[in-house]
Amino acid sequence: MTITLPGPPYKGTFQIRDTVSHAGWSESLWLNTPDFVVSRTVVQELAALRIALLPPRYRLDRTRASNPKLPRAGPTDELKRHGSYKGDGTTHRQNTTLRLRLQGGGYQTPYNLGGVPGDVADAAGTHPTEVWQAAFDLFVAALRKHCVMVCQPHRPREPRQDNIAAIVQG
Amino acid sequence: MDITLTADTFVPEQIGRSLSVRISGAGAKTLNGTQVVVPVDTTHCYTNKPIAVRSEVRPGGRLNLPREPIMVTIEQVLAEKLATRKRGWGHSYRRARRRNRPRG
Repeated sequence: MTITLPGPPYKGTFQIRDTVSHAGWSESLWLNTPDFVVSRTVVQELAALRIALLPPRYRLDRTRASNPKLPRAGPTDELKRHGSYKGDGTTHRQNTTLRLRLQGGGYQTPYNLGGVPGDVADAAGTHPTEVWQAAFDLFVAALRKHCVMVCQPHRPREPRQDNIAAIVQG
Repeated sequence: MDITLTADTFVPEQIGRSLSVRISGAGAKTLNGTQVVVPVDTTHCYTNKPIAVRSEVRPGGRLNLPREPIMVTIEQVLAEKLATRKRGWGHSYRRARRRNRPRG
């Protein structure tokens, strides 16, 4: 029996855990990669950059490369690496995320970046430190290089029909 | 749209009045079914409802064909704002006192 490997997009998943409350969450990205081997390498590359954005309280437990066309297949790697961003030591709760918006070609999709350090953003807005901003720029560069958005194509907009010739107010 | 029946159907009392009739056996399938018509004489009536009468058009709801998702290159990543996101603890938020309880 031979299995035909599906083509892109593959999905890279990070499983992150709060080491204090032991609550965890996962974040996933679509990868424009040809197979599981390359996807695994790319996920690990992205994971290393993602760790640089996390405070030590949060730990990246495992990464996974998968493809929805081949369920339950794909390599999983146990990393169990704590975040490496020290900052001022404060962190937001694990249910607080920094909402990112990925854009391109007229399409957009949100990405919730969990494990936000306290000195990077608050209710007043985002005010990242230089160290965090540098790590974020590297993460964004890797996103733009390896990741894609998977979107439903827009429907062609139908021309508008105006049946009313004129409206006269008396 | 004018409809011509094969037999005398309407009685004089019905002419000029709005009627709900059930049409069957028409060549154009979209014409079959319950229509509100106004009889003009015993065999002719008309309806204001726009009806497609092409024989290859079938009646029914709007069909949405599944569209194959496309891959779009990421050109820009914007950091928008802090947001809260439901995580764990079932399908509902915990009560405010429990939600705001300091943990860890």
